[in-house]
Amino acid sequence: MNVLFISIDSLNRHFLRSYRPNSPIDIETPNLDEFADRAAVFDNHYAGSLPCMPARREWLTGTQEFLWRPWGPIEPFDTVLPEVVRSQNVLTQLVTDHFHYFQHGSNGYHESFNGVEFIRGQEYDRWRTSPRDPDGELLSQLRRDGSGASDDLNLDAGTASDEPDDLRFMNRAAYARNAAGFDVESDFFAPKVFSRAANWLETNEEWSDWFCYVDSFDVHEPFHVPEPYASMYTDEDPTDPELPIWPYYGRTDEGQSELSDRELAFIESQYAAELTMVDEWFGTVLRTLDDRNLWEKTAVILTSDHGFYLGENGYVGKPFEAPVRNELARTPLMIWHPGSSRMGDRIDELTAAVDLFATMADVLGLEVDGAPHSRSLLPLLTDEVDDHREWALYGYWGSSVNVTDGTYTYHRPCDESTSTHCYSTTMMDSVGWFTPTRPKHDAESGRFLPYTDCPVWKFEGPSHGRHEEPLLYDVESDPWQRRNLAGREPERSEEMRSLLVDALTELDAPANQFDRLGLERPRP
Amino acid sequence: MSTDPSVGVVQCCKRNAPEDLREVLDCDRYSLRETLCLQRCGECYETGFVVVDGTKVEFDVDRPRETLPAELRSETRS
Repeated sequence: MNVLFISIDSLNRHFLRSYRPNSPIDIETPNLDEFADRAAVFDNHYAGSLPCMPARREWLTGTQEFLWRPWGPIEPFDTVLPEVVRSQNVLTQLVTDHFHYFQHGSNGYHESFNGVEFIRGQEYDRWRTSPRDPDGELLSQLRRDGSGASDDLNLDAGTASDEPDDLRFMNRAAYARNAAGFDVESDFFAPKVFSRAANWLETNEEWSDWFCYVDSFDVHEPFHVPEPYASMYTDEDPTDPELPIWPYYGRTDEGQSELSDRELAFIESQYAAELTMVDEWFGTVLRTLDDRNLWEKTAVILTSDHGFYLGENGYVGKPFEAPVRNELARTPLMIWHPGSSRMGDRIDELTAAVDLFATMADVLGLEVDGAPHSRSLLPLLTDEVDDHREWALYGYWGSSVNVTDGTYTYHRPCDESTSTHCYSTTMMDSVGWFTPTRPKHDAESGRFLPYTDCPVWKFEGPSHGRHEEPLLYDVESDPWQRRNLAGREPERSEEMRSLLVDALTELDAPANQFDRLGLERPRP
Repeated sequence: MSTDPSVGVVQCCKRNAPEDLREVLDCDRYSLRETLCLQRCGECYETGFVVVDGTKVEFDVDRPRETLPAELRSETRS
């Protein structure tokens, strides 16, 4: 059996026709629709650890990391899926343009694949250094030049513009240089990722079994899209330098993330355009599976790490100050398995991102020890069980902890005055993920983790609130979480609070998590 | 920017901002928004900065009273 695992980053489930869309734009995704018709579609699938790399540690190691640490590298004690797979003489391949694999703080994810096809240039990829002065119009769209800036303040010498030749980390001019010379559609990222994945499928038929992971950074921002897609959902000139394609995260009504209605509508149109482009090129993979008769020996799993606010609840992006609502947390999952009797079905059972590790291992026939939190979905797909999990936990390290039973979501705020403990074999920066690490002189070491005997560093990081009071939503009747029931249904709120305590207890979460969440510690 | 047009919004990264920023800032004219990350990691790694109604302002994080622009400081208000 082969496994083709496809991630489309930042794919808003609520923009997909196969998931009863809740978007002002009817977005064309014929190939995703076709795959949804063929596969089992999971209706109650939730992210776990957010954002990008924490999700990938869940998928590739079966570890629900956000209770212990934030965005960071693979740990020495992790059981890494491609390493396990290749040890069983199954070929492993990664095709990706996901720059984060090569960024500060993210080592260990790609090194165990037999082959890696990395398409350079996404986001802040430190790739091209010329031209020194990149295209001004694109740069303006990337940096939001002028937009949101005050015109009635005299900030004298302190005002600092975002200069393209500023050599500090994460200058948005990097993207403008990387994309300099992009002319035709095939120059862009999704076309490269999916066409190279299709090519890999075509040229590796001599291998008997394989695991191929296609990780598309699109539909992640920046939303830089060629024609004909760029004009599909807007009447604006998509190259107008006044119109942004890379919003800062935050509230849409103030600060650097402020957007006019026109700007927000344009960003949404370009997200939609990028999604249609992704769909078009995802179709090349489907056609290759058709042409090479691979469906009968290949399981295909398609998902995303999280969604992306596009004005919902007054936010854009994945802001640290916003509650993690279903737009971000309830992610798409579609699985084709040739031996399953559930193909074409909708699956209502509650499932979680961390379950994909055990699922992929199970499909490949591997018995794996060491994935501490993952539960295979294969028994659901083969109709051996009709229940999977009672709860799913999700969130960002250092912030609220969210739990769902599939019907309700409960969002537990943290006490900002109680720090969050971070556990890692590295001295990771628990907040500045993308810059070099510095020594942590306050770190202590010990065997602190419940799922390994390996000693790790333990040090304190900030707790960051997203809301002051608990939030409770009935997501069956109110899927977009408009009515907070926490005060109206105290008994249900208490039930979900107890479920959260049970889940944290089952995972043997750090005592500090209970403290910072204002929950009673479990009795020894 | 804010609901009160006479009040500006000053955004800062929690890890980067000086502890006394709220005291230094003219809070009658500016509303301070502390967040975990403003997606300006290069600046955050190397210097102090705030974003004032969308405009980035850099200053010495160890000497905010001297290096934050006078327009933003509380003691300069007439």
